[in-house]
Amino acid sequence: MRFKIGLTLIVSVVFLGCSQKVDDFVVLKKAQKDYLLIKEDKEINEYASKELFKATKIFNSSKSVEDKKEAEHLAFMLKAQIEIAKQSARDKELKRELEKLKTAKIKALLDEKDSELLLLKKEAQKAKLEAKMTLEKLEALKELNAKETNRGLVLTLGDVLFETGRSNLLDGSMRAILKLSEFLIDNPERSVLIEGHTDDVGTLTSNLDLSLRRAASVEKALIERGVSSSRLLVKGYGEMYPVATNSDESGRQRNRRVEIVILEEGVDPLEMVLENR
Amino acid sequence: MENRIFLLSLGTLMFIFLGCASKNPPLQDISDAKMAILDAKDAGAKTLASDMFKNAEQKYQNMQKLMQEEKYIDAKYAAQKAYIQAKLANTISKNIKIQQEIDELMSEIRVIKKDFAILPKDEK
Repeated sequence: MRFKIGLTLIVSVVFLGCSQKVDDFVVLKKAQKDYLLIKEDKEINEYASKELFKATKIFNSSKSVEDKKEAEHLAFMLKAQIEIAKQSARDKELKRELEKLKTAKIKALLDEKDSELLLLKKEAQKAKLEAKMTLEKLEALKELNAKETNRGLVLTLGDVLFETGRSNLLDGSMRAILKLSEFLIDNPERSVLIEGHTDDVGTLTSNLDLSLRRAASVEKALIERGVSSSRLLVKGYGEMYPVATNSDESGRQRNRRVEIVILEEGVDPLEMVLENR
Repeated sequence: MENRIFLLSLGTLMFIFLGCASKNPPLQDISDAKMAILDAKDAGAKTLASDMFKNAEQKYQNMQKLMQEEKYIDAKYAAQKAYIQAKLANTISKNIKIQQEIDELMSEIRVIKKDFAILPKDEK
């Protein structure tokens, strides 16, 4: 009898130690439930099928488990594998997003380059147009008998464009003044030297005075048409620099003049005045 | 008769005991766990998923202790847990890196688009 009781006791202890009903394993049941949820997840099925398969294997093993320790172990493994499957699906999703962004970056860079190119093209067109207009205006000045010299383009306003013996400009000079002012407004880097000259009739001082006043009249006309005074340098030389003989009327008329020297871009007018050359 | 029953019961008990305890060390599981930990380390898990990685390492250390005690079943479980946690740490680290790359790209695109927005409207 003692033997039977002892045997029963040993068998009971062993069975209780090695087995337990799966229903008691709360953690495992929770993991199994989580598995069943992700099993139906479309994204995990599509992007993490390999990891889902591993979870399925653990899940299947866990269905027949009777040992508590093993059940706890499988619950741990199943829970972790589910998380791996979720992270793997996320990995695929992130990689797709990354690829999209890489493409978006290239597109944004291309758009930016296109815009820069367009801007450069427009600037080039504008510069070309401006250069063309400048050239046209330069040509228009040349039509006014402007001559290219080593000092720059020289436009001469003859004696006939001033009132006799006075400094007032006559209406005939206005075409030249207008074209010149337009050219100077379009070319703000260019300065102008306005030099008055006379023949040798009269006194030296009166000739100097007249030449200066005539040059100043031209300066005033240009300023009235919008040219900055800082770009204009006025000189009166009287009879000092004749371009023809003063012994006949034709020569004297040529000597009575105002020369307007349009300097190259950035050239200081003081460098170009006659007394410094 | 009683002796026969006793012997049969003893045999059954021996069978059950043998079934409950494995004799062989879980070498493959240990190797897998070690490899997974090294891979996770290479993926930057030590900093990017530090808690998870630390847990994997602790489980691996625990497994080594259990091996010394010749508790092979527990050692097998510990190795498998170390393996799966290292794998998870690895995957999380990779995702964090991709997310960082995404954030950087988004920031770069924002800067490009901001520069682009500075251009005059008729130049776009």
